[in-house]
Amino acid sequence: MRKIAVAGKGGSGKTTIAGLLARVVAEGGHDVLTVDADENPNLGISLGLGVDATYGLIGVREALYADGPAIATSMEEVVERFATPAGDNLRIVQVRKFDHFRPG
Amino acid sequence: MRVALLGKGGSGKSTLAGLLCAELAARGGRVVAFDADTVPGLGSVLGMPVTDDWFLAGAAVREGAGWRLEGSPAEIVDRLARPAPGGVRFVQLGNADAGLREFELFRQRFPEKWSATMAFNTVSRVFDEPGGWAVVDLQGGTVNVAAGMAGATGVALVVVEPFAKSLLTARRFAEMAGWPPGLRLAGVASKVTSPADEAYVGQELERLGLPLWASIPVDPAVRRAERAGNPLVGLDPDSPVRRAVAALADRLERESAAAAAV
Amino acid sequence: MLATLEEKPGRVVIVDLGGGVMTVARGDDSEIDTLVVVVEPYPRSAEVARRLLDMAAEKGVSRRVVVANKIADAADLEAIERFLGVTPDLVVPEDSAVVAADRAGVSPIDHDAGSPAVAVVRDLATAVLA
Repeated sequence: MRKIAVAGKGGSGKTTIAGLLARVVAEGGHDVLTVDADENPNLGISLGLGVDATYGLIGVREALYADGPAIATSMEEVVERFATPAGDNLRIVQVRKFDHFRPG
Repeated sequence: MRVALLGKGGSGKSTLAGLLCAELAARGGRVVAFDADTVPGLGSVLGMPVTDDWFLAGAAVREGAGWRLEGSPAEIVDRLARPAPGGVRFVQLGNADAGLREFELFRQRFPEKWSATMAFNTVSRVFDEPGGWAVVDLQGGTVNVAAGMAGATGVALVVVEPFAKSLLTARRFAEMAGWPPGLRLAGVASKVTSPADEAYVGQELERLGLPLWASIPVDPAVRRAERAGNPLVGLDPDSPVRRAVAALADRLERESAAAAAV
Repeated sequence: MLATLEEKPGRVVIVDLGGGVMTVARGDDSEIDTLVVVVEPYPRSAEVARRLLDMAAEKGVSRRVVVANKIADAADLEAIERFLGVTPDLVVPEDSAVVAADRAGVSPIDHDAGSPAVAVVRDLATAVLA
């Protein structure tokens, strides 16, 4: 199992490249799980999900804490509950979703 | 008046912030510039040297389990701001030191520097220059804390490039609840290559209820300066980018006069 | 976070870490086997890239791949080498198809699967899966 992270200065094209890489690897037959850890999450757009679907993705962190302390016991469980399909062999888990103000 | 700049990383926000500071200072305004990025953004546009200093390390002292700001925001800026070109006074958050800094470990090892972060945030959030300008370049893409860090007065400019991810980021800023009522939100189109680009951004901003206050074009001179590592304040005042920034400064001066007249 | 993911043969996890250094600084990236650092030809981009590479080395990330992006000409590539001090492993050219796809909010591979940038990302895929 490969675990690859993509990083860079904002605007460098990191998300575009991460999304393209995921699509290429998935089209090659691998089972690809993408994780968008950006607090301004746009990876869904680069996977080809479209702007509205990306905007609507659940933020796992917020979802887990919505009803009190988080109860998921493992990342695998989080993936099973929250991962959104983005094509054949391809899923996305979005860590954060910010749609209202939280104090810094 | 306060002017905070928000936007997706790489939107041209820091470039705009730096050139705006230079423009306002060139018109005789008293300008204080706050660079809230740990990798200098606005600072490098102004040609400030990259340093290891946390500028405001001297501004806060430990007090029990917490810390206390030493003086008012105005006193702290007077004491600790660095001189930048054009008479701009410059205040930087960040530590330019490369290498690993596990964030929590760093805070424990250098408690005075952690309080420098708190001091910076406290000062940059409230400081205003009477009769002058406080320009705050917020860290790119930090949507969640923007409403707090942008301050409670003045203008928050959302910098938007003509492509989908940047527009979606603008939407997140605009739709965020909790903006202080005294803060005016407006949009600036950035890296515009054509009238179609400007219309594309303008339409989305209109949908979000934000006025378009300026349109900053792509300028080959910017690219050349960046390739050479030259600070962008060296750009020709007649270049398209600087003329667009001048138009934005005009708009901001009108806003400042209107706000003062209230 | 990733440590509790099930080890499945043939599974590939790709994490988009967010712009800048703070996500890497705060995170535990010892679980990552490859860090791809994307860099553009100007000083601020190289400064962030340099810090990311140093942090990854200190955190024990075994493989680091440097990808130069939006490279229009030899001067751009030379600028990266000058600012970052390393030769990139892969070079993604400036690509009008990517610009068009980004504008429309679609994946470049859906817009034009044969474009130059997509071709280099295929090479990146080969490299990271090796």
